[in-house]
Amino acid sequence: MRHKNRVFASALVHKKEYMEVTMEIIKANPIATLKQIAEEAGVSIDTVSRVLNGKNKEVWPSTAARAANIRLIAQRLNYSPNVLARSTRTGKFGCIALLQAAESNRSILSVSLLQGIQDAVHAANVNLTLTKLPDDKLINEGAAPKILREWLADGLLINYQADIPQRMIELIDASDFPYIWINSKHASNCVYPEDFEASRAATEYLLSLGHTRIAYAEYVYNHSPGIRPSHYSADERLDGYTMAMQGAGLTPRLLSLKRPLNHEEALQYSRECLASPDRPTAVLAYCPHETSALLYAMAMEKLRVGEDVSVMTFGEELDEISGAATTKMEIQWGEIGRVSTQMLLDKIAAPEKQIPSRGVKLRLRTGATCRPPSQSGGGSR
Amino acid sequence: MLKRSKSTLRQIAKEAGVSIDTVSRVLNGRNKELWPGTMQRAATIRAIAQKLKYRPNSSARAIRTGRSNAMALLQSSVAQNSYLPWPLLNGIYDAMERHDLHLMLSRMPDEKLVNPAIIPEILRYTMSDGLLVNYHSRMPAQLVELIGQYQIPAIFINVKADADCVYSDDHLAGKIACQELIKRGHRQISYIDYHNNHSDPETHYSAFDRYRGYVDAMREAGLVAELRGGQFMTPEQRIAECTRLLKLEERPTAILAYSEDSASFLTYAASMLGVRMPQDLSIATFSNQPAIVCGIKLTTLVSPWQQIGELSVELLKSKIKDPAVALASKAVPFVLYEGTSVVHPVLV
Repeated sequence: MRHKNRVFASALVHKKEYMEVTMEIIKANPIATLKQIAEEAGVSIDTVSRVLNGKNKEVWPSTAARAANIRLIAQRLNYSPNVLARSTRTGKFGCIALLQAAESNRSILSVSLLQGIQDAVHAANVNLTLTKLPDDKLINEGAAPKILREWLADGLLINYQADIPQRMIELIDASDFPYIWINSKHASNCVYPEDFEASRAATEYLLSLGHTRIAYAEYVYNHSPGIRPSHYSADERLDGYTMAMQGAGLTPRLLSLKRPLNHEEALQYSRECLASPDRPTAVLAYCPHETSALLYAMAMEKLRVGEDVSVMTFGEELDEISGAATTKMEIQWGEIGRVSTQMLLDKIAAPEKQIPSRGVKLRLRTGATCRPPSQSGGGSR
Repeated sequence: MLKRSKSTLRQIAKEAGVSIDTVSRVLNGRNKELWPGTMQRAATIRAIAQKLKYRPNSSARAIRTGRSNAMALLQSSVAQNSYLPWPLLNGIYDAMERHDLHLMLSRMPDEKLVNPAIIPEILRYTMSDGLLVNYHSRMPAQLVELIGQYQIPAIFINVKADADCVYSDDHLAGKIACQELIKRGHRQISYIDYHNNHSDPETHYSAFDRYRGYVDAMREAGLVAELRGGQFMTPEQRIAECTRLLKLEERPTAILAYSEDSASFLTYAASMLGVRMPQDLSIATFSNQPAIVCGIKLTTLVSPWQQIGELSVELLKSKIKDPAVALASKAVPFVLYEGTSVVHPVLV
């Protein structure tokens, strides 16, 4: 048996014990049952079950009337069909939890990610609950079991991206509560966007258009010595770009002050970079933050988007500030949501199995912000 | 495989040599641990509980009480019909946490939501005691009827009606935003909305209410209101419209934009034309957070999503207690954020 962390182990769902407790309670507290309803309606328990589970075919007027009658009786008897009763039979809650950090900037929950998770959850006929926790609750040994036992979930989707406390990773990896990490890289049990590949593909796309003066812009992270960017994509996107440039025999050029820039600074710095005669003909921007600064800077410098300078980025937001859709490597959040949920369901079915990590490819979406460089050599107009 | 453990409160009590009541108090965090002796005893009890892998169960409580202690956030399976900004989710979550409730995220296709066989069972399907219905457009009409008919506890978010709704006060926000511009001496103030079709009654109430608030403020000040757009436009059309507006001889000195999105097209067009902001053009808008576009902090009426979320949970709590009682809807005011985008118009 694998060594298990005691804190998390104490909070595990022990199905046999759980079933014993719940069965006792069910016996001691008879609420309206299918049987009672069946007796009162003068039909079989099966029929009641079918009707109340929405599996009844109500094609004929008489069947429909009978079903309506059954529903009325159920309502009158205050029948509360209980998922918990079902979970006692199956030993599962039929529910998974999505875990978010308390600070929104550390757990990006895009609409498509939630959609993807809900697609998969819906298809598997399980429920989804959302939990948001401050770090201290997860790394404080006393608090964790209290939270876990309240979850009523069979497994966890952990949607933490930035600054994940090492202690939390240790505790979770040591637990045997089924879990999958979303958008952070671990040895196993995680689903993440393939940022390195995406950045290389993006750079190669700009190369294929004929650009040679391609720069990479990043205004988000602190690169002081000894500090690691809080998300792996910072390194991977830069590396993917660098590798593609070097592969083409070109010198990479970085537009960055190696520290986070606010909106004003970002705009000012972008203007300086674009005003100089040796400006790049294409810029690959780390995220929408650099992209919008670059687009506004171009408007102010009277540079035409695409014609004078091509701009490309990553992500799914930021569209059409300049009146034209941004060319981008689109993160497939929907797919990430579906894949991670399916992985978690597999993990719940076979908790002993280590599931290999899986990268999800980004897709090139060509907009109108990238064109071949102009004939004059790019720099001047 | 895990070893079968048969740990109950009784077993823990026996091992610790205390009463079951004491164990229960300690493990539920209701114990007063003021004396060193009490603290030590509590620590022992917790250690034993941990050793025995005791897991007090909220589902057991749920079966006992007939409540699942959860609320479901019900959203459309068509993404565009339900709008869930992070602060709304946060507000809902925070209020539920205060009341020790779970948040279930549920999504159902419309045909299920209008199925009379499903609605009476919806609390079971969603594992909840009540619904927060979050549709900002195209909510199936029968859903509302069925919820009323079967007295399902439900509160509607981002919908404007007399009862059981929590929504933002867009009319007041439109008025306040416009008054901010008037206060600074602007007389020629245009309103732009390139997103919503103002001739379609199905359009979200915020489109009409923000505009009406602006119109009322203009009228009270004896000024002439002007709507630009009022229909859905493509990005190219938006840029073209903004450019045309800014090139007018009688160019407005201030513009109120329906959304941050509209404001971003405006600032982009202004940047291209060399129209200086805020010296030549003041801008105010509405958004989920203080808007920053083109490096400028825009004066923003910030949507009160966090409070809307919290308030809906509070209302739903009352509704769960008594589903038959209609609750008066709540309109939540926006918060004014003063940016640097509004100054006195330069008089030439």
